[in-house]
Amino acid sequence: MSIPLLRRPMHRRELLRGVGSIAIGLPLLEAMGCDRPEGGVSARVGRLVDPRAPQHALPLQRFIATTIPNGVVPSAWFPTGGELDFTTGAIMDPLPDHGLPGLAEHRDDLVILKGMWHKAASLGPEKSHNEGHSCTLTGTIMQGPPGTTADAGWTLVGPSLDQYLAGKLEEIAGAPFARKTLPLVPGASFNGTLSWDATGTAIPVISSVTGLFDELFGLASLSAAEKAALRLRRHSVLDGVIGNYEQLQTRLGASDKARLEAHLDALRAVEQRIDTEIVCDAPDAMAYPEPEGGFGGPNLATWADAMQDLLVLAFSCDVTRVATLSYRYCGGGNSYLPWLGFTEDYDTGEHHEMSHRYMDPLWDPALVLASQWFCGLTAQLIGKLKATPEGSGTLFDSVILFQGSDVATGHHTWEDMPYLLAGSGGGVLPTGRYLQLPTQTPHNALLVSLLQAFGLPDTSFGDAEPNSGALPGLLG
Amino acid sequence: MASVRQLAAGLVLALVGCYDGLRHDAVGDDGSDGGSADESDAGSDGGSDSGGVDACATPAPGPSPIRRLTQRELDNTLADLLGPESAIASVMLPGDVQPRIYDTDIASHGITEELAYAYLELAEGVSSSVDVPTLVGCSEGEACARAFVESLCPRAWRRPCTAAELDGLVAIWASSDAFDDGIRRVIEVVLQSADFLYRPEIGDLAEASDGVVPLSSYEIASRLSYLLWGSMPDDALFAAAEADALRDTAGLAEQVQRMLDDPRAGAQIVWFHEQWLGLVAIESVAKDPAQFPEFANVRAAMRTEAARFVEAVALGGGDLGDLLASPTTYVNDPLASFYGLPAPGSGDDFVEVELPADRHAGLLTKGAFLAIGANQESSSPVRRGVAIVRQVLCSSPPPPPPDVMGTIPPPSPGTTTRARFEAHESDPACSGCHGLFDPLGFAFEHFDAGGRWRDLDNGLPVDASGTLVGTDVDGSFDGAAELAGLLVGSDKVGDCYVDHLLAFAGGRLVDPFEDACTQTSLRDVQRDGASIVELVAALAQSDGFRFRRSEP
Repeated sequence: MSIPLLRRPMHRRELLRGVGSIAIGLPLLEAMGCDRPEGGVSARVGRLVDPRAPQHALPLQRFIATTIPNGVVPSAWFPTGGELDFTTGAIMDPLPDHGLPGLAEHRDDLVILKGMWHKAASLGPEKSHNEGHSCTLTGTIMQGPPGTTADAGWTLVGPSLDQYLAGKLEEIAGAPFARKTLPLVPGASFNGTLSWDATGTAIPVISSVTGLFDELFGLASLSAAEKAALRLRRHSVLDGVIGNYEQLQTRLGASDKARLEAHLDALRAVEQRIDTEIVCDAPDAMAYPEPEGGFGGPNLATWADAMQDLLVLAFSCDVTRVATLSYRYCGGGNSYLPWLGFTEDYDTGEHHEMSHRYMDPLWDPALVLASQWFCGLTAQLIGKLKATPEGSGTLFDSVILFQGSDVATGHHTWEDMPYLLAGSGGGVLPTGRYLQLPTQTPHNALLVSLLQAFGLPDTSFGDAEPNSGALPGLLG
Repeated sequence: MASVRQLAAGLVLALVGCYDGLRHDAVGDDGSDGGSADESDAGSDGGSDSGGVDACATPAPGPSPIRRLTQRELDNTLADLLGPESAIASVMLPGDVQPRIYDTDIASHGITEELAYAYLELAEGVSSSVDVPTLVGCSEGEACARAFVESLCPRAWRRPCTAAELDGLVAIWASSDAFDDGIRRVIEVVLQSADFLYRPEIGDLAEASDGVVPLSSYEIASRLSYLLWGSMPDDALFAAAEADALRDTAGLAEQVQRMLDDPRAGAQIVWFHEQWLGLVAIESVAKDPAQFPEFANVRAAMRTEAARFVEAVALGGGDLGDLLASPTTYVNDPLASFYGLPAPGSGDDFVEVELPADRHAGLLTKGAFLAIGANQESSSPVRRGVAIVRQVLCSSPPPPPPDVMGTIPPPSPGTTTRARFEAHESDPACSGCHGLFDPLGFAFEHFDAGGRWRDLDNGLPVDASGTLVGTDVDGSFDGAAELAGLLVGSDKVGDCYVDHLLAFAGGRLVDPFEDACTQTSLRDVQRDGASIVELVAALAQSDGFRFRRSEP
């Protein structure tokens, strides 16, 4: 089991505060009160118009991708009934003992999908949780020698949908958002992130509650003049840095030159990003302490609650329009859920180990409970979004949330993936539906439909082989 | 740079199924087994295969793509360049994408906008933490700023800076109204520059021959310092580079010897071995508190124990055999007490102790290795066995099929761990692969989940006997010490160790074709009985280390 190297956030926060006192080094922030987007009403769907690009009269839309680990027990996941008159499964029931709502509470805002096939993962080298999770948003087949584990040198083909979509939203808005996306994962492990750039490089994840807080509110105390000075100063420094890369490039061979070009691209993006400002009221930092015992460890519920709160604040202040959120590694080795009454022994209580005993009546109830708990976190997030006013409605009105999993079941099966969508995305997605599609509908079709839901013209996403255009009947 | 993560393809000597024995198989273009030469055949030639000698008569280095400093290298470098308080990379930067084994692996060094922004924040954090008057030594005027730039630039970029570069940095200083802020801006530019964050290598193009160029003395200096110290060159190494003394073998040998005598070399050698066997993970291993109430208090000491051992073996002139077989270890009072050994009375200080040689054998019987290779309540012959097969024998067992888990019954009274895992033998779906690595794990059954010696498992006598197959030293053993005794005599093990060292040093896959000359020469050095330090020194003086292949 690899051990991810993580930020040490408390130190970082102290450092940032020290730097801030001499007016350099922190993200630009406005302390002038929350400036929520207030657009007009979109003729297209009768919802809020995206205030960043009012000329397009597009609905204000936001995207969240999240996952539950290690698949489900299908009989407890899939609803009974038809497209509109369905009854949700046991996994969507609330868990009052754990203070968690159930997805059933949001039934009318869900689209539960049956028949989706994670074909890209099924064609991967190991056919394991790694591929299932990492390729959830890429729709690409992990490249590697068949029958090998990741140490054989797999290559992931990006980008993931969240990164692609965020780039397109910035293109439409004509300017970068303060943060392109927020990839929130308790660790930097391979099995953690959903977010990859076009070269297949993992987007650095944000694991720490205090780290995310600093990203959003670290410099709330600077005056407008100080921020303007800081911006000029950073441009001056970056000019010098970029000059060095360009100079060095002229002396290098082709492949080294390409590596520096990638860094130059990143620096040029930073140049644009530092001109953006985060416009939020800073909440009380003391309300967002780092959970003890490591990110997502024994206090996973606390971590999830705080990260969800900050994500909602970030959306509310329009820091970004796109976020990914995972709670636990899927696949082998180190996921313990003692608060559910499971042991902390590998053989008898490790979530992935248990998931491989799927279909054993002794173990299925525990697996259902685990899935129910993770789905409860999603239900909790939906509740927070619904509780945040925006315009005449709530933040949730703008959201499409996708909840996936790395596998369909613990036996590494890929058909009938437990996928669901929540939220209408500004009115473009009819909800309250149980959509039963033909079996073996490649999940790339869902990715394509998601892009189309955001008004993009794309007709394929990911590898060509598992592609089959958009999902019929999803969008209204 | 699309690689997700991974390391040494040279390390990935895939098993062809689990039935055909071990095959030396570079992970090829199509990833198939490819029917390449049997490992033991290659071994019997002692690396002097026909064609090999001629092909290696002139330097034939493998590719050397540009490398970015790891977080550890960055912190070491910042400390050496600007003082220890500047070593804040591991605090400021997001976690490295987890490399397959070694942090130097360039496949895990992709760049994103988010990371570039983190480097900007890091540079600002460092610049704001330095005391400018102390650092610069004067406090006003362009002459003062220029003197600082002339001192900082060549050290930070690890090569002489051109007049234009120096002028450019002075102009950065002049872009600020305040002297101190100008200096801080210079620091921020220098620390975000490619010449600092990366290790560019061009070589002496005037001496190119068939696309192979000798590295400059400055480039060799950086290779040496990052290989042997994980940090930038010191003044003496810079002086040797300035005198162009690193391109002749005598001058190079002198510096290698000097650097290996420096304490930083010990730390670097430890870091390599910790990554080789994944020992860093011990810091976060948890054990059943009922059985191991003191474990959480000694797991950090277990890492120290292994580190002290590696350092003592390596710096004491020991070789891989000593690393795998020596019964010496290092304990403090709490750790000795945990192991059930007599407390040395040294408190928290570690002292050398000799353990029974028929029980204990080197790194593989250290608590760190054993406790990582175990569950919380019980030992795991699978984890321990797979670790040996992968890391020590450089074979890559395929993943288990997805739907055949749960074969092993949970621990229960009156059953030994071994008896539980022997279920693998009776199930043909499991026995093909587990038959290879479970027995290697059984060798360690005298060590419980916490790494303590035991004669009984669940009240029953421990059976630690087994058979090693598929290697050049096949044979039976009873216990870890006897297994280690077999492994010590194996060329396959020595070759594997060399490949690991090359992967760590090169930051990339060892390619059995492109790196053949370097690989062969070092395998010969290893087989000739080199000490660890001699092997590292040989690597640092090899053609593959002193030359690079130029590309258009």
